[in-house]
Amino acid sequence: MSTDSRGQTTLDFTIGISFFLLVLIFVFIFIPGLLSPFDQSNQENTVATNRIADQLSTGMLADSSAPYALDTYCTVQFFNENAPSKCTYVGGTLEEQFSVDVTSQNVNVTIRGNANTAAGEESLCWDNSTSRLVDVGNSDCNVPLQRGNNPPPDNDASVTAQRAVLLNGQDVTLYVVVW
Amino acid sequence: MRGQAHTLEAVVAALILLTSLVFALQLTAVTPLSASTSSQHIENQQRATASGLLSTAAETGALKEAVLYWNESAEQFHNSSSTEGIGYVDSPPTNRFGQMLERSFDQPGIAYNVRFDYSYRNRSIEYIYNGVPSDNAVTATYMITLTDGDYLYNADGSRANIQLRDATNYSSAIPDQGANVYNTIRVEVIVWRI
Repeated sequence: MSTDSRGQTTLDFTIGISFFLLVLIFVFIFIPGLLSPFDQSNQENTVATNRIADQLSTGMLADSSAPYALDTYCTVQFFNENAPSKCTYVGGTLEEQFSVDVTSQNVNVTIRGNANTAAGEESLCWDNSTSRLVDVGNSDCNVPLQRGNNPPPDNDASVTAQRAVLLNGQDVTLYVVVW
Repeated sequence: MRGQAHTLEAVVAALILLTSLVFALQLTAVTPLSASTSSQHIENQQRATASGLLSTAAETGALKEAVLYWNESAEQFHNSSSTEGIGYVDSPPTNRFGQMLERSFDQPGIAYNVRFDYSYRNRSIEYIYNGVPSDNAVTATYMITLTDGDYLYNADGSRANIQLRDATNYSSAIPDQGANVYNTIRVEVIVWRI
């Protein structure tokens, strides 16, 4: 086959070089995939949502010596977008209060619980006249316990944190969504 | 052209490339926040919810009521659903603590156990048992103290007229360690995804 004294036929060369090129191309395509766990953009949303939920449930709305037991007056004023002097948080928009970058992140804070006899939880609302928690659809609702824009319906884009807290003698759940 | 002396050289070169790739794979990994059934974020939420639930129950007195929810005549907790033990299996108790647990964790795919660990001889009793926890279970604990003057509770949540110092059958659940304090209990809530 070959005229010189090399111990290699053309077929040998074809097999060898094609195998080598296949492996080379595979390695070059595979390398960027190795780095994909490290550049997820959801990591900063996860950190932000946990930080906001911990701040709210153990610091801003509750006394830090009794975590998860929310002060009813300060909580209602927080969702009414006021900042009375006796409460430990300062006023401002949600993004200012939690040091969230407005250009890249949005926050939504909601309190949900069981306000009626039916099972399942619904968004809660504060009734000023009778000082109790009702659900948002109720006609006695004065201050809906919800702040921030509506989260996107696409679940992949947002990160949610939940905390079980005590509000007005009732156990409710605080949801913080960041997207 | 002597671009390649032997076919074997090409094969060995390709194998070296693959080996170095496998070696480089050691430095990368699935991070704790990658999407999977054992997601770290979900475990953190479960731990925080369980911790908040215990604090809330302790604030409202529902936790102590759950520990003292004892049926003295039947020698087990009220409406116990366990056939050979004294606690609850597969369903939460009918007190306020059970309702709070049900509200937070009664979702498909989440199971929880509640255990009382007491200091006398380092024993523990299973209050609510729903199986063996998975490897990715999280726990939250809360310490409460029982004194000899505490009263037991009836099945409807009202206080019974029996004090702990007179409740002799309660020792089969949690013994009296003498002195002024009846016992110190650590309530442990273990939550995991099925």
